[in-house]
Amino acid sequence: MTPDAIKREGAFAKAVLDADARVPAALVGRDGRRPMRRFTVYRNNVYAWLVNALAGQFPAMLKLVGE
Amino acid sequence: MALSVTFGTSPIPPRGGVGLKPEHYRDILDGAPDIGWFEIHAENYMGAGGPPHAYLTAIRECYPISLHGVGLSIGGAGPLDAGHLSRLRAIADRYQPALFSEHLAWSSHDTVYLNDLLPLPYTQDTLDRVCDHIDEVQNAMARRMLLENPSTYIAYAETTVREVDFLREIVRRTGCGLLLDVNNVFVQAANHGFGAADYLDDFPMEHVAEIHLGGHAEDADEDGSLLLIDDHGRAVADPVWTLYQRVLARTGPVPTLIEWDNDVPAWSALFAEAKRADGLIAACSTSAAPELMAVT
Repeated sequence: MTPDAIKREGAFAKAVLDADARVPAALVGRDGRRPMRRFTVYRNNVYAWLVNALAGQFPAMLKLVGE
Repeated sequence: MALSVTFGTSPIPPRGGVGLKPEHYRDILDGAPDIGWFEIHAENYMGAGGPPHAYLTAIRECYPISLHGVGLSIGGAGPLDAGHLSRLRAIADRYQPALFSEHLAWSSHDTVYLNDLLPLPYTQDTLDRVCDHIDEVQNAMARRMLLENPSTYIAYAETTVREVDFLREIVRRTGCGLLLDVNNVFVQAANHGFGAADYLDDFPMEHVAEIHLGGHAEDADEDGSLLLIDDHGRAVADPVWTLYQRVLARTGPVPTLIEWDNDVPAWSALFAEAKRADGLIAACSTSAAPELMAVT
């Protein structure tokens, strides 16, 4: 492994978990365009999984606070 | 733990199969459908016991299964998780899957697990690392693995190797096989603006031992460009079936899995998709001049 690869991966992971983070500069969309909406697909997948995991673990809390 | 059941080697027939869902356990055990095989997501069976293992054991007595991992992070920058790998090996020892596959993707960083199949750049550096990881996996599992082509939404500026060439070189170095997901090719072609048929015509079909077909959703990005999302939440799209026929014309009969993991339908709808694959496989075996013998 190389330090660059670890750093690149860490930046991606951080941006996936932080909805306010900028998309890492290493990423490009179609024809080199800005990939914000495309990157959001990954963010949504991870958030949906986290929400489902919480809802599964704490069903009573889900009833109290709703979705 | 002493096991009450041992399974022989049951090859995966070159027919349609489906991803095994808990919603269908009873339909399968009660109805004994005429279907070639089932695929399981390894991570769903990493618990020690309980209903999932009881149902899977009963189903495995009647059908061959394929083991599909989604969390090994083969494309990751760091080392593989030895604990995860040993749990994967335990499932393989227990259920004797005839095929084992994982993804060209990463899903964890350091100690953070993200539960998604995330993309990696294709460079000489990542090629070396993926090959090292696959060597490690095949040694730990004591079996060959199939590597699945990804569906992606973004690309890396630093990529220097085409995906098809990246996969071809991995096969050459590691001896692994390939799992060709035709829907992933369709999704990527739309998202990155290349021809799906061109990609498939360049794909090293002689190493394909399994095919995946799944459904995708349509969306758009901020520029209004089509953005396809590999959601496995609906039936396989017609253009993907057409591409599948194009693939079969080169490969001949290959075990083909229908993936439908979200908004899981009634058993009858999923079974019908597998039957559709069966029909196309039967047609290709009588009309095509395949490049390889059927993989069984």
